[in-house]
Amino acid sequence: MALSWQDIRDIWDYRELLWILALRDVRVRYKQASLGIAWALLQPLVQMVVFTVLFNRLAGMGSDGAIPYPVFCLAGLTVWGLFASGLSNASESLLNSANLVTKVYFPRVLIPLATILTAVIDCLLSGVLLAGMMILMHVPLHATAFLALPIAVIAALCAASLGLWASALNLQYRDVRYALPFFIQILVYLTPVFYSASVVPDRYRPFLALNPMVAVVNGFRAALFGLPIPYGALGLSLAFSLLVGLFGFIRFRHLEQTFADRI
Amino acid sequence: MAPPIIQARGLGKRYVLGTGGSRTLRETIVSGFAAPFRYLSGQRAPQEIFWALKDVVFDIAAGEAVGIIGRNGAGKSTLLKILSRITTPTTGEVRMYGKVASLLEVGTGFHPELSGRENIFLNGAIMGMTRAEVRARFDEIVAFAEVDRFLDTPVKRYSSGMYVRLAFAVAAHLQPEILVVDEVLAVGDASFQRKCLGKMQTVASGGRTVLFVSHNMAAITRLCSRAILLSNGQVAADGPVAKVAGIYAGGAEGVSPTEVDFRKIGKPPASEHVRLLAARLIGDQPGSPIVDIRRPFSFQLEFEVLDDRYPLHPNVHIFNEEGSCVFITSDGFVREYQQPKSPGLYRSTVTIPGNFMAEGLFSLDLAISTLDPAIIHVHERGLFTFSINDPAEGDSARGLYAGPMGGAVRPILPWKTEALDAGFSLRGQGEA
Repeated sequence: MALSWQDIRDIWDYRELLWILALRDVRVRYKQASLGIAWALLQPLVQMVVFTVLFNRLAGMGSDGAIPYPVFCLAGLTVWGLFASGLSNASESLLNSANLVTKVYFPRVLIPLATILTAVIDCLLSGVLLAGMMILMHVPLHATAFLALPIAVIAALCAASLGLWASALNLQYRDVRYALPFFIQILVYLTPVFYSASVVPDRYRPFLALNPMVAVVNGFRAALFGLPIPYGALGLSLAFSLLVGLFGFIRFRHLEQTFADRI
Repeated sequence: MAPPIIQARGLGKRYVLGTGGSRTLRETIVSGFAAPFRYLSGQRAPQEIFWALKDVVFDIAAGEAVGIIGRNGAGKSTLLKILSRITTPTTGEVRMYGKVASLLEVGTGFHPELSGRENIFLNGAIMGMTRAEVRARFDEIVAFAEVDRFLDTPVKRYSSGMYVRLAFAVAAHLQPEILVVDEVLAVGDASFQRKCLGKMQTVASGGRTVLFVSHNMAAITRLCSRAILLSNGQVAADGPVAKVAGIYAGGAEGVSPTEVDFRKIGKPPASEHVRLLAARLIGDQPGSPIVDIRRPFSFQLEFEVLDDRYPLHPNVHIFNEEGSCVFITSDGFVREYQQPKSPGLYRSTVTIPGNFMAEGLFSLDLAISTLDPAIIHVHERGLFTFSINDPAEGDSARGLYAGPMGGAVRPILPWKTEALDAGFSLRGQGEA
């Protein structure tokens, strides 16, 4: 059970398919909806409004420093959404592509990866919304803002690495499709998406560090708003996603030979 | 022979029946805990194992067109799935030296919401083509599929015929080294089937390899030079298409598809008056039970007359695929045969003219009877199965028509068509 050059070559030969599959998902999703691409903007917008009313106005939660809460929350939702929708789409992807898996060969790993790419496209749209909100609410642009992009890439890597496992395991144990949405639901509360990490008491901090998305969400916002970026924690998150991703990939390549018989 | 492009060695595929692929986590945990107890009590979970393929060995050379035939459940689809890398064999290995494009199902990877144009690119990419390659062949694909007017229509609005045409067009224009086509052409209409076969022929004659699964023996014999017959997951025959088709049609072991020699297999069918010794089918290709509709062919039987008590008439009964008798022929109308023959060996031959029987698969009964009084001395049922094929080259009764054609017989009859109003002007021109 090791990785060979053939595996890499195989995927390289099909590299264009990754993009085409991702584009297919985006096209199909918005083709029939009359609001079209606006849905990608509406979703985070509505979430932002609801969270602002609920957590900021009613529960009295604040943001980091002087950042207006809606922008603070939307920034968190943008990068969290990339992770959450990437992971949940990836986990269902193989099952949803049963007709392809049983009828034609191509490296199956492209199927979950393409859904991550779809989530990236959605995230970019959400990013446009975020930029608009920042201008609207007079949030100054910091020089470190461009670092938000590589940090978002770490979020995508986290989603991809876990997504590889989830999609393959989903074929073996259909429990995954019930457990995972629950897991993501819980994780959003354990990640400082709509609250600031600074409200977490010190004694709980080590537990927070176990969640690789904490550093990603914190880092993403820190880069945007010119706060100190937690490079060390981000490095750990990156290492986590690469390691889990590598093992996930090897396991996936091994399991993919039986996918057609399992679906 | 050219070096093999596909080498299959000891291919086997095992399926475990009953328990499907996916188990819940709970089942895994429970059975994990229960396993030691089961082991101790000597019980084993009952599992039914089924070998869809077993020890399949063959080489296919580059540029060969090979038909894969066999009854339902013989393992054809499993073999194609292994060859197109969708599933891996349980035992053995297959080596392929070239890019494979497979068309196992109509419109695999087509997305109903996307337009024909988008689906061509999507489908091409799924089959391993780059965008540039698809773009280069785009017009060719569209022209072949005859969908140019519907390029921007979502394919969910396509008719099933358009769907197949587009799917086949993409796969066939990929220029893969190996093209694998399952029984998908059955969906299209006859003229498109002919077009597809033509395209596959071009692919094959261009030095590329075609593997073709079909129940349509006429299509297989037209396209392929070689056939592999699968039976219960094993290669039952592999060789020239006519021979393998004959074995597939004939079935029985130790009997050639065109000849039965009862002396060799023992127990010649006999009554006290006559003994049937041998029977053969003589077509335009020796040893082949496939007959060109335009050519005459013969049945021959050898028999031994044991006494001269009755006049004996050999007769042939031909049945179509539905089991209806197409016709019976005997030499009963020949005056001199209406007398008893003296004991000895005889050989009778009957020739069926060309352009007489319809296309299809037929089976044959042989009998030796006395007509008055009616006595059947020997009667061998289903002795041969043979197929009448129409290559549709324009000089058979179907002319240039390639579609399904009914009728119990397919004769060429004298036709004459005269122009009625052209006479005047012709005469006028002649006089001028």
